[in-house]
Amino acid sequence: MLHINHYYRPDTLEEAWQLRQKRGSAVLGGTGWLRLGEHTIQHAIDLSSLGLDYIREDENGFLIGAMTTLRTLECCKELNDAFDGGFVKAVEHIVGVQFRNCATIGGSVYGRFGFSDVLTLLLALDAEVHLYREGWVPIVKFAKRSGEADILTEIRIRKNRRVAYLSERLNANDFPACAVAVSRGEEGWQCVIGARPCRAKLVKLPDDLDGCDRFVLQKIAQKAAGSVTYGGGMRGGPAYRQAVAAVLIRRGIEALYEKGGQA
Amino acid sequence: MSNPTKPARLVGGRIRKKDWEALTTGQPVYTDDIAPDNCLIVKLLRSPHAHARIRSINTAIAKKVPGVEAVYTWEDVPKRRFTLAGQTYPEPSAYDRLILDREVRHVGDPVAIIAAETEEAALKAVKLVKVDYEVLPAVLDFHTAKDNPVLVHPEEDWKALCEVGADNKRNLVASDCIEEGDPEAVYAACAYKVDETYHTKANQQAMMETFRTWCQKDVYGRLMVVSSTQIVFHLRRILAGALDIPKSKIRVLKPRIGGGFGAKQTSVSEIYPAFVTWKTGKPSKLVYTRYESQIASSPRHEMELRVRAGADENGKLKVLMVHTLSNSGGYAEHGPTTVGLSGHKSIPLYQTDAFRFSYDVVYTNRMSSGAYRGYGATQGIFAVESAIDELVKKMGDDPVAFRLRNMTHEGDKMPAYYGEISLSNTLDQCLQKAADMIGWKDKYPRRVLENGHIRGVGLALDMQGSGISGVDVGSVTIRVMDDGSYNMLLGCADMGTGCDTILAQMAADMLDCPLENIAVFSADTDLSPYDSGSYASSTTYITGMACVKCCKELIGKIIAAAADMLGKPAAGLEFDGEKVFATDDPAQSVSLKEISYHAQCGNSSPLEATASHSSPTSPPPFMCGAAEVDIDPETGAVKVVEFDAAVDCGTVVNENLARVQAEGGILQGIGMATTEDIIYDGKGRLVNNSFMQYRMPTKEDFGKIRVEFCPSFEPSGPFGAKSIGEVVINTPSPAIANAIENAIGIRFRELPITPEKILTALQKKENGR
Amino acid sequence: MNKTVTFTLNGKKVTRELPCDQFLLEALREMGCKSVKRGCETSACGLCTVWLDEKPVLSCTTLAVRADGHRVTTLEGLQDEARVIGGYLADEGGEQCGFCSPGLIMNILSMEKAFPKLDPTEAEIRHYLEGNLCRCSGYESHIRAVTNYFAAKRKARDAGKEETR
Repeated sequence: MLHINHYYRPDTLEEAWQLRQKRGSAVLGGTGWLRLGEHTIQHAIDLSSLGLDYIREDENGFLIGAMTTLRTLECCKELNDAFDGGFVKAVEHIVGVQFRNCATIGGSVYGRFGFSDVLTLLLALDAEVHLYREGWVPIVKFAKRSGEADILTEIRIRKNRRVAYLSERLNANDFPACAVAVSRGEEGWQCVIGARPCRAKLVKLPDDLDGCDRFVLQKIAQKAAGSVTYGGGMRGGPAYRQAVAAVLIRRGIEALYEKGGQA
Repeated sequence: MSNPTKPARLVGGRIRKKDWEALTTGQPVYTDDIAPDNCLIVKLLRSPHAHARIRSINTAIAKKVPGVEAVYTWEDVPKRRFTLAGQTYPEPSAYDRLILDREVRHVGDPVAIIAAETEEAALKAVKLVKVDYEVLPAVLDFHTAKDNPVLVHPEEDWKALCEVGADNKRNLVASDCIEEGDPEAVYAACAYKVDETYHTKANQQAMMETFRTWCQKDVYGRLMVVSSTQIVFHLRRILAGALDIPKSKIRVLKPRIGGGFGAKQTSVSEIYPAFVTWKTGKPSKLVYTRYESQIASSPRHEMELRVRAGADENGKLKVLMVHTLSNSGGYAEHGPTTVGLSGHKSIPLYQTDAFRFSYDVVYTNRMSSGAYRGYGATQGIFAVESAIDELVKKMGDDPVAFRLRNMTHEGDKMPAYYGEISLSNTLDQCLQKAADMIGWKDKYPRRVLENGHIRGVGLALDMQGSGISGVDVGSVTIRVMDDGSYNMLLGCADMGTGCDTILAQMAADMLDCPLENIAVFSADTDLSPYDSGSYASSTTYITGMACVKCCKELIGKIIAAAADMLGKPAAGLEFDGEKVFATDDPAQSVSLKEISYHAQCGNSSPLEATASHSSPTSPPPFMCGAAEVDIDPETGAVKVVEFDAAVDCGTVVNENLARVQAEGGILQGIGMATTEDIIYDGKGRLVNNSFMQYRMPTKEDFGKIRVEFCPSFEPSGPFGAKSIGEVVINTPSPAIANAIENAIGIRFRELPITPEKILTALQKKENGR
Repeated sequence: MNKTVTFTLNGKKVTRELPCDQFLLEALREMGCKSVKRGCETSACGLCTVWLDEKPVLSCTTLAVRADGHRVTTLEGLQDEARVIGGYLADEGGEQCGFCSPGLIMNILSMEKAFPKLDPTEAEIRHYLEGNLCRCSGYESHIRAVTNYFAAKRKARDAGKEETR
């Protein structure tokens, strides 16, 4: 059961940050998982009056406000054009339209959930996370930490990588049994393996991937998949998840071959 | 009983359900929508242990929570055992329950009842009830249950009312063996044999509306129970027994039901608020959370079935033997009866020289099982129709040809189905049609697509019953209202299936009036005529026949009243729906309106009729289901891209509703076959305890479901109808398992068949090369 | 703790003292909007779908206080529209037990904004409505009903164009 003692909708980030310093405070994202389990929140902070619902594009990349919903990411043509439809692919299977109208990118990233599709994609894109006090933090670093008493305000993604997002699920809108994002940029290839079911992890792939045949790719993908650990759980045992990860990594690389060129 | 002679106008049509507008505009017509605001909120403290004995319970602190009205424990309830199974008395399910027991038998078994003015207070009090448990060893594996030294029901006052082979000192809920011919000898002589074991899990009905009930005392001090139930009359009896009060003190009503599928054929939620209101005199309400509905309800019985099938060199099926081990969980509800269908509704699909059907149903320390659409037939048919394909493979035969050669046809006797003769049966047409629909000739057994995916097709036959022969009773009362329209009172339970509508269609055809002239009411034990309830695929066939009888009787009364008014003998009069006229002089007539007004003035015989019906037979509906699956051999991902079905439900009473019954049942079956898993941890806790973890199909989880009808005409049914509600769920599991084998050459004998299982098996096969 | 919340419910301004931890689903039912149904409590079934500022959301996991200053629409506020879609569903027998119908219809109605040309394909219908679970129907009747509904909408729109020409 959920207990919230105080609810605030601050008008400034400073105010939000001050509230966040209080004991037992929490920032409300889309609240999709708030009903699960037992929570007591002394001070619930709602960021919805701070104008953090935006996607801004410039020549370098995108700035996405923390309160932007997953549905907005899914429907944003510019964002999906720039990243090979990766945002559609990463969020379209998350529960349903109604859920995605609630869930926010800030909540998904801050939560650093083991099943997160969004985190998996953003890691592959070398996104950066902006915290009100701390400033910009590379997401790869952010993903390893937890529980900052800061306010996640926006996400920055540069347009310097191409990406392929793939996942396997027991049924269409289930949590993924395995999620993989493969990306390439000027500094090389990388992949992220999520829903293992632990937090997504970034794995660097060999630089000389171009033009490999399927057999070689398979070996490379298997090696990458084998470089991280897998857990069990009802959505699949470690062996299954690892085998699927290897297939998805290979397919991701092949998909980027087909798309050709560099970002 | 003869059938209506007039041609059907409404029967066979595509007619909207009579309650469609209220349902689709969101009117408050369900149990919780109409509960009084001042209900005490009832919550249950549930056992965290699979098996334990309560040493002591301290309720003092919980009772001090402001707003808490009462906290009840095993010490407060009547000491009379009963069953929650909604079955005709004497119930085959043993009397093994108390409202609250000192011994708890599965994780989630109720330990205390808490009633408070608010939900918050009730939940707070639940946490403050302090229980000292003596944790006992638990029987978690149903293979080890029989004759296990740990007894689930050691109590001396355990009672079985019927001879079903139950023995609580052996953990046996039921046990039996029947056979005809010499099955072992016939099997030994067979040229081709299959001997395999199949396993199905305890799937949840997962109707969208969870279990819920509210109660209050009426003006006469009686207990009024409003509940989402399929069985108002059984419920009255169960509650009277459990509370140890006379039936005359209880009235049960059912508003609209948000789905049942058998779940609500067990009295899952009713006894708790009933007890609270009876004790406190105050209205009370219990709405199960989804979590409670998942962990402490009435799911399908887990079964393990060994099938032995044998055929001769000529491709003739000679013998079928089925042994079923069924897991009833902590209580016996529906255990002795569901198991019967695993053999009685699988073996008779085929004509053999001999058969044997034997079973053990056992108690374990898992959630009690109940009735779920298909009711054991689903499990049995998964096993038998899988085994038939395995046999066909061994013989190098064709699955369609083999089945056509060996299936039961119209006029055949079905020894394993209580010796009934199949009087209405188009199973052969169903098979051919389903095979055509799926494109069997072109697609069997497999195709490899350009993307590397493998497509396979598979099919399966099945049957169900139409009501329980010699047991189920359906009744209909029809009254003529004073404008010549009719009031139809029913005791069956429309749970979305549309039986209120199809019975009105039948009545309107019988009485030659528009559908609007039939005002339907259901169901209230004070007002409705007795009906066993809507389960066992009984309502269309059993209550439908009661409706036909009732209309005939009523027409007789209308004519008799007119005879009185016209001063003519009834024998020379006819009723055309609007008026009664003399056959030799149609100008001499009196309108129904006049007759009905006449009945309200100086009249001593009511212008109404009540008829009951029960049937000595339970004519099986038949179906053939054909699946095409798409498998990604690299990931094991599997999707049913097409499922085609041809159904013989006798006369199709309402094409819309019959089609949706079929489509809905098929998708539940697809879920059972592919995604709906039941996993317990080592301590007997169900892991799939929410919709996040119990994965039912969405709109995107299948390609297409197509349904066609091959109607036969059942002479003992209303307008030639049989049943449709359950037969539709049985073919997906075997058809999909058969399609998967045809695609990748691997046989799966346990459900669900998940991508992980497929990939693991493919890797094993690859490594074995 | 309670908070005073003012929002527009089905076109009418309402002010209520609501607990900070109450979800919109429970608040709406207490306010008489009984069309809003609870199916799962884990944001998995779509039965509780309502509109927040004309967007479909899950009321079971949306805090009621968040409605402050916003517009909330339930099926009680869309009776005529519900009756029209309801007719298409009923023509296919697709409403069945009806318990999921309000949430489903709220989401179908929201499709008109997502597909301004009123021409969703079958795949798009399946995908858009994937978050609305139904255990009775097998969904095919929903697909047929929604397809027919949009075909009628397009026809009415095109007929309207003809007239104005």
